[in-house]
Amino acid sequence: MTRLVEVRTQILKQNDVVARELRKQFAEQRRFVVSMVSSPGSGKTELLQKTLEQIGQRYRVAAVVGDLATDNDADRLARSGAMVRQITTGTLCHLEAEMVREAIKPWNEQPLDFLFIENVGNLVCPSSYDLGESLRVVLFSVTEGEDKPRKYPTIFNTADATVITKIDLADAVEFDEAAARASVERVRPGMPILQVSAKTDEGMLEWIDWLAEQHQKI
Amino acid sequence: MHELSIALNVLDIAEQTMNEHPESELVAIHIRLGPMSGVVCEALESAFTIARQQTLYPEVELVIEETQLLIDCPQCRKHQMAISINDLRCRTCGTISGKIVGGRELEIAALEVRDEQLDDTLSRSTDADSKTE
Repeated sequence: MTRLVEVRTQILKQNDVVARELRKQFAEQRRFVVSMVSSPGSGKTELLQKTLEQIGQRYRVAAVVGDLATDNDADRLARSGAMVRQITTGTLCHLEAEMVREAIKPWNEQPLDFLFIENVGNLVCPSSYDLGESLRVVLFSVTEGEDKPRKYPTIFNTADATVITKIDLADAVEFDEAAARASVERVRPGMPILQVSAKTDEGMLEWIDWLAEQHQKI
Repeated sequence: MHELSIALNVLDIAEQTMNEHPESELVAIHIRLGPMSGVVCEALESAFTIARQQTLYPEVELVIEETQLLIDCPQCRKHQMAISINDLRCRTCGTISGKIVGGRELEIAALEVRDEQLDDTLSRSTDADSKTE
């Protein structure tokens, strides 16, 4: 004979607790924390490099970048002049709050306006893990297809903004902007959508201004 | 594939809870999983069968209750089922809503345990009953 012992606990409670502590810490430090998620190859690192360069002229910025095995991304990002730390996750397909907390420890006493977190390239696993970020931005490139949001609804639904990348290639791949917007709208109605090309700088100014505007709100 | 991490978390929490119930044996873990939790049922089930082998409960079962995706429909003015996770329109009236009120569950609901002592007592009393008959 068996009986039930009620538990009622979040399975990711441990992560949620750390994320909550981080969020509190960020609020006290007045740090605006932006996490970026996307599939591999959608241009996160390129966009982040440009973002650090441009927003770094106005604000104190730093970035942590998650990658399965290499530290190439950190090297690329460091060229922007910003402080960058790499989190190598090994076989883990996503970042967890504790990894972020460890990675940013050296900057705990440092005044920072913006902290960017580049997640591992993956549109599935990162969706379940709160990192204490102020804003979660999901990226997808014009080459990936307009229905990406509907294929990965959970990550889009947990995000606060969508950035469509590589728009310099939009014509070449016959990207249907209206279809892409409708696809986002179906899984996360009302979510802001920005369009950029880190290569030609198109839309970069709007993106940087938009980030600055969000920063004002904290 | 973060389901292995999730499975390990489930087993960790179960182990901690079982420490408070040393007299009981863990039989099954009941969890609630929403379609918007980011976790795939089948993947979690296979990950769980691997993860449990490294624990004190290599035989423990995982019982998954799948919850429904509910939105707060501005038109119907109540909680309604959404069409699907990639189409957040109300199943009844078709109005879209960004307000998800159910379907993100990723939680342990309960542990199913067997109490040795209780079983002993029961079987003894059954023995006694049969003797009386």
